[in-house]
Amino acid sequence: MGGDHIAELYRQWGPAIYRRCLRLLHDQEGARDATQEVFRKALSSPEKLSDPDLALPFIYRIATNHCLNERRNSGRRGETELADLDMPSDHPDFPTRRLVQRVLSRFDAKTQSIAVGVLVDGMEHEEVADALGISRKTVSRKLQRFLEHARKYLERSAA
Amino acid sequence: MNHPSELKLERHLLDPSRSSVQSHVEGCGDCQSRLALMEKQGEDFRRFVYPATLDKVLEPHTRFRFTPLKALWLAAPAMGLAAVLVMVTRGPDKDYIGEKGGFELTAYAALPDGTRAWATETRCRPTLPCASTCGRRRSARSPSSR
Repeated sequence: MGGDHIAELYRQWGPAIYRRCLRLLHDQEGARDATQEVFRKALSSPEKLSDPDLALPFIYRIATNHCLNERRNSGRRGETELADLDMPSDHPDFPTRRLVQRVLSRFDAKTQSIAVGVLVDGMEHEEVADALGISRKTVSRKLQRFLEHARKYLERSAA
Repeated sequence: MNHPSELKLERHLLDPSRSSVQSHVEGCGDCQSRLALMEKQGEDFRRFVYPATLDKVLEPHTRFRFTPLKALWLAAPAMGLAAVLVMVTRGPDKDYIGEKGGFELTAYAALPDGTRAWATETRCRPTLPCASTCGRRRSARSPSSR
């Protein structure tokens, strides 16, 4: 693939990647670095980037996984606390979202992506399934498990 | 009211004419604000992030990578040069007369008590053309007579 074509694809999909990274990382510099990393990963399947219907869910999945990994790794390194995931306190879903934030890092990458997609981004199960390349049933099952474990975790913490 | 997800708003930004949330967005101030913010972030990408990161994105695709095929292309000129050198230095022509260590001329004298060597030890230096230094001697003793 030629440099001009790659530059054109980057110009086309870069804004969506950047927005996604910015939303999950809440840090302009981190989002800038993550954007180029995500795009480089996305270039491994150039045919998906050339198809607008496939490209958006594809880059959404890569960006979400990458940024959640970044957050997990920086948390492990003790560099930063996990940033708030867009949770205005007057939002009706605030308690649930707070729950998500506190327990998110205790789960595997796929479950994290599902939880963020549904509970933070407000995506429908079908959308998350589409974006992550899994079945809707898997989304429901993993989300259910996540919420059960999260509640148990909070009950233990409270006790 | 259920607002459309980020992904749906991204699709909307990409092509409003095919958007499934067009009617909702038109009547929803919150979503219009979200879209305005998303557009601003996209503009930030185009103005600041894209120029600053493009080189790094392109780097793996423009950097020279050594592959067996490229090695063949590099070897081709070297092989051509070697062939030219072999042709240039392949050896003397048909009429070349030479001897390892150079010529040695010995004159013999027919004396009453037999034939004796009269003079010897005259050498041609191999680096010089024989014809200029000892041409006469060489013609006096051709290789066929040896």
